[in-house]
Amino acid sequence: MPTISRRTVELDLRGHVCPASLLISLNKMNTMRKELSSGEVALRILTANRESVPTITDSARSMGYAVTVERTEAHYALRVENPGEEGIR
Amino acid sequence: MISIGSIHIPAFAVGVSAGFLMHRSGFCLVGPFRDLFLFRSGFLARNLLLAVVASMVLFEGARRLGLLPFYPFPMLGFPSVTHLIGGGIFGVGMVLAGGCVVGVLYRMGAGNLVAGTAFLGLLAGSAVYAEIHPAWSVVKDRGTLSYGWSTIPQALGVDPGIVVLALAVPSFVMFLRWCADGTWSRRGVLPRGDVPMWAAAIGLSILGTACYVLSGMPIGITTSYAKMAGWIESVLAPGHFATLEYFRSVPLNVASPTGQILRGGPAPVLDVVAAIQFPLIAGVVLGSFLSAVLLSEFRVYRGVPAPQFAAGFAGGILMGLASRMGSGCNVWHLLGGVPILAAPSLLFAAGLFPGAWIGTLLFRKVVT
Repeated sequence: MPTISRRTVELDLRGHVCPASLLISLNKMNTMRKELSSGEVALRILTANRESVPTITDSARSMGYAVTVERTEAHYALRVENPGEEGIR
Repeated sequence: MISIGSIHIPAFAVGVSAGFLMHRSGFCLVGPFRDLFLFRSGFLARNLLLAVVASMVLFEGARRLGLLPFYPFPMLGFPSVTHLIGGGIFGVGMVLAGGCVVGVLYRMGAGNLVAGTAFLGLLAGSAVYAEIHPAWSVVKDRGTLSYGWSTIPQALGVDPGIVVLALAVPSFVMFLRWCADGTWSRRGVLPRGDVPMWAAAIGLSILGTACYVLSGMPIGITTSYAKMAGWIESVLAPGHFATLEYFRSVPLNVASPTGQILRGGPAPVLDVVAAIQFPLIAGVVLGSFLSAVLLSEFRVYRGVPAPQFAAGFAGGILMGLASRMGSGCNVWHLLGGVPILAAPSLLFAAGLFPGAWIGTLLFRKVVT
C-alpha cells in the first residue's frame, strides 16, 4: 500500500496546451519533492490532454512515485504519491 | 483518376479517418522535433520516421502501378532558401501553438480552446503573408537553388525506386531492431481507447497515399486557410483586398493525364484546392470530435492561463505566415514532399529543427 498521505494538493491542468501539462506537473513534483517523498502530501493532477496521461505517469514513476489513474467525467485524474512499502506502481 | 466533381467525398473520408486516428493515438508532427530539445526524447521522432518511410514505399509503389496522376505532385516548386526560412519560422510557431496545422484542428475538434485560438492565428498569419507576397516572391526567385530539378532522384538522374530502396531497406532493419528493443511501445498508463502510435503512423501513411492517388496531391490544407483569410478580408476591407496580388495568384495550374485542367489558389473561390482541402479540414475536426464524443471526453475548459492563449495565437500567426513563405505546411512537406525526396520539403524539414529549438525556449517561458 502507498503511504497514506495526510494532505492532497490538486493541480487542475484541464484544457492546457500540449505539453504544458507535463512541464507544469514535473515542475510541481520537483518543488514538492520533500513533501511528496515523506508521504505528507499527495499530488492530484487533473488533465484532459490524452497525450499527457502516459508521459506524466511514466515521468512520475521514474522519479520514484506511485501513480494511479482514474477517468472521471471527461478528464483523467492522476494521483502521485509516496509508494510506501509496496514500491512503485 | 481525378474526378473533381466527387473528390470532396474521399477527401472528407480521409479527413475523418485522420482526425479519429490522431485523437486516439496522440500522433503529433510537432513533438518529434520539440521533444528532442525539450525532453531529450526520440519516441515521437521514431514514429514520424516510420510514417515518412511508409509513405515513401507506398508512394513509390503507387507510382510504379501508374496510380499517381502527377509525379512529382503540383505546387511543389523548385528548392529555394525560402523553404528553409519558412521551415524555421514554422518550427517556432508550431511549438508555441502546441500543435501544427492539423494538430490544431484535431485538438479543436476535441474541444480545446487554445487550439481554437491558434486556428484564428493561422488565418491571421495567412492574411499577413498576403501583405508581403510581392516582396517575398522576389526573395524566393533569387534564393532558388535550381530550376532544373525538384527531387533528389531528378538531381541525381536516377530512378526514384533505387533511392527509395536504398533508404527503405536500412530503415526497415532499424525499425526491426527498435521492435526487438521494445521502443515502439509507450511507457506509462495509456488513456482509454488508445491506438498505438506506430499503427497511427502507418494508418496516416495509407491515408496520405489515398489522398495522393485520388486528388493528385498529398495531404495539405493551408492554402484553404489563406482562402478563409481572403474571404474575411474581402468582406471586412474589400478595397484593400482588391489590391492584394496574392489572392489573384494561381499556384495550381496543370493538366491531368486525362487532359483535365486543374486550377486553384488562395483566392476565396470554390476551386479545385477548395474541393480537396475544405472537406479534409472539416473531416479532421469531425473525426476527432466523434472520437472524443465516443469516449465521453469532449469538453470545453475555460480556465487556461492567458499566456497559453497568447502563445497559441502567436504560434498560429507564425505557422500561417511560414506555411505560405515555405510554400506549404509541415504535413504537406513531411508526409508529402519528404517521402518523394523533394528538395523544397527537405529544406523545410531542416528548418524545423532550429525553429523547434527556439520554440521550446520560448514555450518554457510561457508555461513556467
